[in-house]
This record gives sequence, structure tokens and C-alpha cells, in this order.
Amino acid sequence: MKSVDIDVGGTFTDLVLTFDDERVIAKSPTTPYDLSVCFINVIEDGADQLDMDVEELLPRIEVVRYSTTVAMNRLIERRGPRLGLMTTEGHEEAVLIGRGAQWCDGLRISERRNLALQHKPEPLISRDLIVGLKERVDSAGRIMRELDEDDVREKLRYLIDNGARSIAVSLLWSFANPAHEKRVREIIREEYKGYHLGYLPVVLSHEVVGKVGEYERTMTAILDAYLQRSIKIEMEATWDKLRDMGYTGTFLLTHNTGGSAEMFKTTASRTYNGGPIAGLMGSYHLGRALGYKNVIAADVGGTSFDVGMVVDAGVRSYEFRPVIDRWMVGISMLECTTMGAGGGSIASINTLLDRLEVGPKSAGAMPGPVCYDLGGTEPTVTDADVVLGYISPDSYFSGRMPLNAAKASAAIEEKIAKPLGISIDEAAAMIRNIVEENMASAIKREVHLRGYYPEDFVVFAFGGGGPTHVAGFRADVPVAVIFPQSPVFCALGSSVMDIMHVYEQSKRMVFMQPVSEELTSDYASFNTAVDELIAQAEIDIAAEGLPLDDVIYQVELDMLYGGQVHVKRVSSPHTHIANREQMQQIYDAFEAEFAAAFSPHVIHKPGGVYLDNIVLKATIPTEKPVLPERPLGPADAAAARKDEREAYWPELAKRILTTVYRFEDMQPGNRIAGPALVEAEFTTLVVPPGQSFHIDSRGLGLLEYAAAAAMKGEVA
Amino acid sequence: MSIPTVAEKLAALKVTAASTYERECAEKLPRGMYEIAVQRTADILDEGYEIFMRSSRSSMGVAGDSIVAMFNAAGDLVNASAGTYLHAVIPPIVIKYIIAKYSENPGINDGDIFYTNDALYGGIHNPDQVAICPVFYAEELIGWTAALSHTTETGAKEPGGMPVSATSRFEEGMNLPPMKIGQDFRINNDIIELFRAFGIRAEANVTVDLKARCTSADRVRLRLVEMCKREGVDFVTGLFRRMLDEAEAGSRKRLKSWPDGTYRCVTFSDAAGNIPGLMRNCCMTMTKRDDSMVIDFSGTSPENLSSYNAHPQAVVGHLANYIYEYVFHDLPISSATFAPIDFVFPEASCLSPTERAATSNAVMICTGAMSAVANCISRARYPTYEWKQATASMGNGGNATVIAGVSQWDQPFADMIAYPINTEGQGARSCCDGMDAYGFPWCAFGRAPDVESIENEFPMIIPFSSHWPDSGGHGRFRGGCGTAQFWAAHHVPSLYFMAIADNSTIQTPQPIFGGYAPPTVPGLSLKGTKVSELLSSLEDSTLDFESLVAGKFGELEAEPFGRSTRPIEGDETVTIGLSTGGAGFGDPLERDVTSIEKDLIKGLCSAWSAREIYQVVWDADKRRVDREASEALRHEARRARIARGVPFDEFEAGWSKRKPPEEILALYGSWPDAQPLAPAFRP
Repeated sequence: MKSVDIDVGGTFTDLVLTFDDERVIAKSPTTPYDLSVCFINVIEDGADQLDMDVEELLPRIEVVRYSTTVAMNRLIERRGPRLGLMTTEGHEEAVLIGRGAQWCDGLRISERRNLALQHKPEPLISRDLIVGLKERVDSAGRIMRELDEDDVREKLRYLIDNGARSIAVSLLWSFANPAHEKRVREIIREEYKGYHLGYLPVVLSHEVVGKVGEYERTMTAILDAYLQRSIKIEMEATWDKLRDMGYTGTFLLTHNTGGSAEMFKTTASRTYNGGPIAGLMGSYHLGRALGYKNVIAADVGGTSFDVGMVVDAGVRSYEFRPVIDRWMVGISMLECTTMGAGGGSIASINTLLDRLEVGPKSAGAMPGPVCYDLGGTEPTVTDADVVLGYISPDSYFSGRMPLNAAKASAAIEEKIAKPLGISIDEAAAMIRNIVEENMASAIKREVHLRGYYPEDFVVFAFGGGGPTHVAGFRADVPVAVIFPQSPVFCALGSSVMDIMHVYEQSKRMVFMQPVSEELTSDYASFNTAVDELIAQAEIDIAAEGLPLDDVIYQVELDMLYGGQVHVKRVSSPHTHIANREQMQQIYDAFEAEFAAAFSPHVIHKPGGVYLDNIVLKATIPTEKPVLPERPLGPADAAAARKDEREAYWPELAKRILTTVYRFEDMQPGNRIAGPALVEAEFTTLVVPPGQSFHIDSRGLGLLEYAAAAAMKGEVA
Repeated sequence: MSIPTVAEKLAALKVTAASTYERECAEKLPRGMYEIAVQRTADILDEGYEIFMRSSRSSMGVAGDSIVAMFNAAGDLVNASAGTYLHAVIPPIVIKYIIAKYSENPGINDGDIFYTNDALYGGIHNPDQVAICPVFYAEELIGWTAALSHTTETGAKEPGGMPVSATSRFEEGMNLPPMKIGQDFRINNDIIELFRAFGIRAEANVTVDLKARCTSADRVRLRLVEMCKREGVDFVTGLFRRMLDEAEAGSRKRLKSWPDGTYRCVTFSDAAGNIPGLMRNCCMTMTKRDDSMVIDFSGTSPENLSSYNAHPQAVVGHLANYIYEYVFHDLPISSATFAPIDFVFPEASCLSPTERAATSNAVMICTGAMSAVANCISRARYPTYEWKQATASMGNGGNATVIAGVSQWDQPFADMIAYPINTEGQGARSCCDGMDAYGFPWCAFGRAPDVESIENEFPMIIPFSSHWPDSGGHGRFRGGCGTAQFWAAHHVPSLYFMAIADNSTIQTPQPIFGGYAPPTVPGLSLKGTKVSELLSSLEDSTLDFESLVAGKFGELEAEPFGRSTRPIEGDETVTIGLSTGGAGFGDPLERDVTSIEKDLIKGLCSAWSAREIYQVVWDADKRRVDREASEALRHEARRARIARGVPFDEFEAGWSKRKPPEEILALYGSWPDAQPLAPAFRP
């Protein structure tokens, strides 16, 4: 397999270049003014490592996969076009009311508490560009008020005259009966042809989200309309450059469903959070290959700590209330918990409570930590790492970004150490300890909520700061795994993702009768709904030129007990239902997952069981890279010794001369005991006293508690 | 009988003095570890809160209208995770009662589960129920945990847990004093049966919520035991004490920064349950000195023969809603934050009734206290560096509507429509307007359902759903607008409807610094209009609130919003659901003209209000405010104000002679000081 996987982050663009048995990684600063520049730059870096130029490399590459933060950046910068929204008359303000608590969406709990300073987000569409159409469909899909076509034409003209350059159409119950939405699009096309200079993109809500909930469905349609143009322009710029350089393969975008799909078959909202989800999916696929059933995927970046879970060799936990930026949406996105803790997290003293706090406020990439010397004055976690001697000011980012250790030290002294009356080293160690323990606590909470204990998991530590802090944040997890590609793990993750399309359709049906607890015998209506989704999938997959024979279909169902509010998404053991036994099997699967997710106490069969939503996943598996095994060599890692420098270890309460190893030079079988530092090209692994680190037969680094490792006889 | 007195309940809110052992443990806490452990308590509580939401059955529990909390061994609240802060006040009273009364018999042992919902013993009202677990480590009591939420059925004389027609506690269904309901980590079967019997109208809701409370409290207990195992009992004991010390110090530091003074606010309502009449539902005098303050409710109307009464701790709980959202938002939810605040309640008042009083609508009578505390505290803070935290009162209408019947899914149902209570307007702020349709003042993060979700669950159709124009109190900064939803029965032959409210002829929230109160909330419906016919024949008419009020959809009937249970025929109007706007801040004549123009364009302000309240000239055709003409109009309005002004003594002399009609003063008490005219008699 020859593939290019790229993850464009806010600060850096990461590459994993797979060229048959060779795999190289690269990192390049992101170029926000034109993302195609950093895209090509990082490929050039990778090609260099293979002693090729880009024009030589790209014609031989079979697939390019791409995860991007473009969508998020455009939202934050509000750089989308002026939009118009056509909705059902009388319901124009649904997106402004935002189910009331819209102001909470996208905020952390601690950020929500002060109500005096809260605001609803600035709307993407102003009220004067929202028009109500004279029509109404009821919850059974019956037309209660016929669509007034003259009214549509009049309001369309009004929107255009007032500057709308793209139209979202979201009518109540359109997914149950899309006739009015479709007719509105026909009218728009009658008035404004596709070949006109002022081509007017139109997004119909039922086509982007096929389920109940007008606020979430409308916001998804709005976001898709809002982001479509800018993402399209940037993707096309990249696509054109790739083509110019001889690339002829497919161009896949990572989706937040855990799959990837052709750019031409991707909606904007699906690309949101693609990077972290790629990291999670990478953990899933690599965990399977390595025999780990339960994996904590922990990504430490500059501003955030993202935690995803692979449980029982599966990834099927979806965001309960998916939010993009500040907007709740109707699409299903894999769950990835984010907390405000990373290298840029600012340490400060809360004068009201007289205690040291780290994060969630971050110095970000600009001005960044004090040691970046770009104007930052608030001490951060990275500053603490530098002061403690863990991060070398000369080797950071492969030596391409020298750090100012003196400034970092002065900031910690002035802002933390002096007010607390402690030494600079103690203050730096305290900053580090607090941020790591907060991360550990978040991991414990996520694991406990799934009914497990940390001891049942391994941690995959990635992101630039993952290896630097994993010894502290892994909580009680016995083993932390560090990959050679840990700093670019999200790009690595996308390299093992399958091609996948997800389709959803709201379908309220009585699955189990209330009181009598009889399962329904109406299999036909269920099967018809599934067949309709499969037909949609076949059209999309065929259009991508992929073989229909390779497609694996999986049905998931959103179900709930009568009288309850929460649905539970359950993996159906059958795509179609042929008999009562299969119905029972689906119910049993639902009951088991429901009890595990909520509580066995809440199971209430007398209330009946309802099916709310059918989800079809159409997957075309991709080839998974094999992790080659090599024989274990000697335990002595002396050959990988790079240097030694003074570092402060709070466990020893002093600075000692600490050996620094080079990760890339360590061989399978090499073992080192803490305290030690292991520098890789884009990160530094910290091995504190009491922990040990070794390289296994597949070249992966394993960090363990020394006592546990000794008990296993792995440490001399 | 060992019913705690008011003094005992208020004393239980105070933090117990630290023992020498606690002090030593607090001093021994390693630096750095304290900060980490504080965060760990928050994460443990967040886990418990999440478990609570997932395990609950009733809609409020599912929405997170609940609290999960941890306490030291003496029962002082150390930290909590909450959607509804008012619940924070309750458990310390109950735990301290259990320690005082039950230590010997029935005893307090590892694995015990205690429970109560009785406001007489320390609760808010009987739908709010709490499960409490003692935390033992190495056979030593080291703390307590609690989970508290609202369940919408109590077996009262009316469904829904908040019977408006109840005249005494004997008509309110289940009222359990603190009692042991389980041991060895199991709930007794006889207790579950007791809940089934009282909850027969919605048995699953009642019993599942009972188990959810116990499950969540036990989860936090388990994590605290793990913390003891890992860090030691001394560490946990010291941690709790230091958290209390720091919370109290933070609270005192904040209060000290405000100017000393006495601040007053008086609020009113227009009914007590089914009894119409004027009530002074809160008369607040807040006296702040140095780092403490006293809140005195003397002058509040007497208790009444409805369920609109609240025991004192419930009133304090309602103050907590505002205080934790606007005042102590950066402090932990802790008994210690309330340590510097003392309370005075007049006996036999609606905020401190006698034992037999019905209190199931305590949340309605407490809207006055919720509003008054915003007013008093904001005036105290406005001259300080915290001036941006000063706000007018939130909507606080709580206009709750219940529908019942058999749904289009052949399911019996009885539930509150969550939309209006979750889309009230926020009070105007000192530097900007209140948020429109921001949420639920009792549970700030509560969320309104989608129209499609309502129509999917209930046999209704909603022809329009929008902001309610002009519903925010006017002012230099206006209160956030509430919402208006048109509900009609659909799919079924009939359903039942009832509504709870007390603000149709006078509004409770007081504005601040010359702003306006939000408008009153009428009970509107269309007489005889078939909604399916209306929808199919609308043609050019615009489907909105303005057209409805203009009578374009048929004859509009207006009555008080609060209404007893009544049947509604299929295809007919249920009512127009209205949520209250927030109160205004500052003089409307000082409102920025551009803001008025924006409101006019958005339809949040009517042309009438623009002209008559804000004194601006709106050109509807050009959709612009004429700034020059407006300035002239405002100038004239100011001159007119001066012209009609009178010296204060003259005003006071005239004002003091005025009195409302005698026939609306039955609930008020003696005029003007609102003293009881006769004891409340409840057989």
C-alpha cells in the first residue's frame, strides 16, 4: 500500500507516508492563509525522507486521506457566505431560540456557571434573512397546509435581493414527507439555473439529517450551506495541486462517523473533528491488531486533552448532544471527550480560593507559552516542562523551534513560586502534577461511566504532549503505549480507517407493545426502511467507483422504552427481520446495551419499546498495515544514549543528571528504568522514578510501573 | 414528634465547628495534592450526576434538574454537581437531623440508605426527594453522600405532584420524614411497595427515580471509599475541612467588597393556587455589614390555605439558585458559602408557615424571593468592581402546563410541557440585554424540546413557536424575551389540560434602576376555532403571535393563566403557552437607538413600545429609526417627566394614602404591613 495521510491541525500539519513497507512521519507548520501550502509542504518533507521529490512520489501514491480543521476555523472566523433560511411559517425563530440553552452549547461546565456573562452565539443567519413559507406537514407526514408556490417565489426574491448567496431549506417534518422541501428546490432552480453566474447552492434539511428535531436538523443544513463554499475552495486548491503533481488516486476525507469518503460525497459537517476521531479509529484498529480490547486514546495537544474509548474491541459510543462550535447538530458523531488541558494551559493562582489552578484557559499557539518567546507572559505547562529539564530548549520540534528557558523560569518564579513561597522547581512540578492528575481524573470518570476500571485498559498516548505527560495522567492504567508515530497519531489513524457512509432515517414504530409486551410482527415496514437506505448507499458507493460486492452493511437502531426520553443506539444483529426470533434477538441486544449505558433499574417493558431511528453503515474495508515483528535484542539501551542533562524529579525532591535517549535509536528489547528522558523527533517521553520503559518486538514503546514490570520479570 | 424548628433548620445550614483532629488533618495536606483532590471531588460528583441523569425516569431527572453531593462526617456540604442549585440547601439539614435523632435507634451503619421528601423536616416540597448514604471507611463514619431530584407524582389529590387545590399537607400525598429505607446497600422491598402505592398514577416514574437516587448517592460513596483507600482517612478529612474553610473565606471576601448598607425589595403575585388575590409574596430587607449579611423577610404576607407556602429552608434554596449562578459562580457549592448569611423569617407567613400548611407549590411562592434577591444583591454590587455582575431579575414565571390523556401511540401520558418553562427571558444586565429565551431559572442548563419532539410524543400540533415580542421588561437594557407557542390537540379525540401560574394580573419580578417589569402572562385560547381548518384556510394570513392577538384566527379568549384541569376536544386550542420575559435595567429613555432599531427589525419590540416606552420614531417602510426625531421626542418626554414630578414628601404623603380594593386583600394580610388577620385553620 502506498498512501498519504494528512491531519491539518490549528498549529501543525501532520503526515504519515506509507510506502509499501516503509512508513515516515513529518510535521510542518499549518499555513492558515492557504492550507494547500502546508499540505504540499508536509508531503515534500515526507518525500525527502524517502529520497524522492513530490512529483516522483505522488504518481505512485494510491490514496490520499485528509482530516482537517478547516470547518472549525471558518466557523470561528465567521467567514462563510451570507445565507438565507426558508422554513415553515410560524417557526422562523427556532434557530435563534436554540431550544433555550443554546448558550451552553460548546462551553465547558466551568465556563457556564457565571450567568451574568453568558451570551447566545452570534447567529450564522440574521433574522431578516429567515423567511417562513406557507406550508405545514404534521407528525404523521400529512399535509395540513399546501405549499404556496407564489409565496416561495416572492420570498426567494426577497432573500436574493437582501444578499443571500446560499439557501438552506428546512421545513417541519420534511424527513417524514419531503415533498415540500423538494418542490422548494425545484422552484429555486426554476428561478436560478445551475449555469447562472450567481449559482445558488441549496441544502435541503431532510437530505443531510433524516430524523426528528428541527433545531438540530436545521443547524446541520445551515452549517453545510455555510461551510460548503470555503471548504470546497480549499479542497479544490489542494486537489488541483495534487493533480498537477501527477497524483491520480482517490482523495478521501475523514468523517466524524469513524469512516472516510470521497471529497465529492462529503458534507461539510461530517469533516468536523475529523482529526481526533481519526486518532480514536487508529486506536481501535491498532488495538485490534495488537490484541488490546480496551484502549484509552489520549491525545495531548496545545490547548486540549482529547479522550476517546475503545471498549470491548469496539467504538460505538456517540456524542449524546453533538455540537459543532456552538451549534447543536443532528448528525451522529463518535464520542471524544475534550478538556481544557494541554501544553499551552495557563497556570494561575485563584486569589479568591487561594489555590493554584491549571487551565482551562490556554495561551494557544499565539502567543503560546512564555518559552516560545512570542510575547506570552503567563506560565504554562510547556514552560513547566522546560524549567524541569524534561523538554530541551534546543531540541523542541526537532530543533527547529528554539525555546527561551530563562523566560519560562522567570514567569513561573514571579507568577507561581513567589506567591506560594516555594522554589521554582517545586512550582513547575506542581503545575505539571495538577494538569496530569486532572487528566487522570477525567480518564477515570470516563472509564467508570462505562462500567469499567482503569486497570482493564491500556493507554495509547499521542499528540505532541502525550508521551511527555502520560506517566502522570495514565491513572491506574498498567501499560501506556507510545508509537513511533505518536506525535502524528491522528494521521496514522486515518491511514487505517475504512471507507464508510452513514445514513439515518427517523422511523417511529412500536417495537414492543405496551402492557402486553408483544413484539411487533410488522417486519415489512422495518425492512422497507432499511432497503431504502441501502438503495441510497448503493448510489453513492457506485458513484465513487467502488465495488458494491465489497460493501458490509451494519444496522444500528435508536430505541427507547415507552415514556422515557433517552434513546439508546444499539447494534442490530440483523439488517433485516424475517421472524420473531430475530425480533427477540434485537430486543435482547437493546436491553443489554440499555442496561449497561443507563441502569438496569430503568428497564421498563410494560411501557413498550419504540424504534425511533434507523442507522445504516455501509463500510468498504481498507487494507490494514501489518505491524512487523522483529526479534528482541539486548536490554541495554546504551546505544541509544544521546545526552544527559539536569532534570528535577519531585519523587526525589531534587535535580539529578538524567540520561537522555533517542527514541528512534532504541531497539526491540531495549529497557530503561526511570528517571530517564527519551527524545523523539517531535516529542519527549518522560520516564519518572518508579516507572520503566521498553521497546517491544513491534517497535512500540511500553511504559509500565517498575514494580509491576519487575514482577513480570521484564526488568532486570 | 421531633419536627425540627425553624431555628434548628437554619442552624443546620451553618458549618459545624472544626474539631482539633480536622484542623490537624487540614494542616497536614501536602501542597499541590489539595488542588488535585479538589478536582477529583468534582470529577467524582460529575460521574454521579451523569449516572443520576442516565438512571432517572421522570423528565426533570433526565434533564438534570437534580444534585449529587458529598458532605463531611458532620453533614456539612463540601461540594456538589448540580443542575438545580436550590437542592444544595436541603441535605445538611436532613443529615444533621439523622445524626441527632437516629444514631442510637435505628442506628447509622455502613450500607444504610436514608430518605426524605418532607419539607417540614427540611425539604423544598414533596416532589423533591433525597437519598442519603453514610460513608464508612474502616468502620469509621467519614462523610455522607446525597442525590436529590424532582419526581412529578406524589399521590396527591391532583396528578403531577404540585396540586394547586391542596389546602393542607394532608392533601399532598406522600410526605416521608427522614427514615432508613435500606441497609446492606439494598432498598427494603416494603419501602418500594410504599412508593408504588403512592405513585400508582405513574408507578415506574416513582420507583425508578427512587432507585436512581440511591444508585447515584452510592456511586459517590464508593468513590469516596476509594479515595480513603488511596490517600487515607486523614487526607479526606483534612480535604473536606479545608474545602469548607476556603469556601467560607471566599464567600466572606466577596461580601466584604460590597458597600455596607440596607437594601429592600418587595414583590407581589396575584393568586395562591386557586385563590385569586394580591399577595406580597416576598418582602426582603437585606442588611450587609463587613463580611456578612442578614436577609429579613418580615412583612411578607401570611400563610394561606393553598399549596403556595414554603418552609424557610425552601426559601433559602431559591436564593441559592441566583446566588450560585451570579454571585458565588466561582466558589464551590458548599454549606460554607452560606455561612456568612443569616435569615429572619416572620412566623405564620407564607415563607414560614405552620406545620399543617400545604407547600407543594413552594416553588411558585418562592418566585418572589428569587426575584428580590437579584434586586437587592445587584444594587449592593453595582458600585463595586463587580458591577458587570449586577442584573435585573430573571423571568421566574414558572408558568407550568400539564397535559394528560392517551397519546397517538396509545400510551397513557401525563406530563409537563417543557418548552415554556425552559425558554424564559434572562434579566437585563448592567452592560447588555438579558438573553432571549435563555432557559429555566430553576435549572439554568435545562433545555426546551424541539417542536417536532413535542408533536412526536404528545397528541398536539403547534402552528407557531416564536419569541414573545415585548415580553422582556423594557429598560436601558431590556430583559430577555420569553416565548409564545400555539398548542392545539391533534391526532386524538380529546386530552386534559391544567396550568399553574400567579402572574396574570401582576408580575412578580421587579426591575432595577428605572427599568420595567416584564408584562403579565394571560391565559389565551381561541374559542371554537378548528385548527386543521385554520391551517388549510390561512391563505395570505401570516401565522404569528401578532396576528393571533389581532384576532385574525378567531375569537380570542383571555383568562388567568393558571387553570384547573379541563378537557380539550381534538383539533381545538389547548392554550397559547407563554414564558415570562426578564426584568429591565435602567431608564428606557437611555436605551441606545440602534438597539431599539435592531429589536424592531427582529420583531422583538413592537412599534407601539418603540413609540410609547422608548420614545423613538420608527419608519416601518424604511425599517429605520429616525434618530433626529427620536431625540426630540425623548427630550420632550424628559421635560414632561419633570413637569409631572412632585417633591418626595408630597409623593409619599399621597402614595401612603392609597390602598387596593378590600376584596383583593384576603391573601395579603393586614394593610399595609401584611400581618396575619387570623390563624390559618386546617382541620
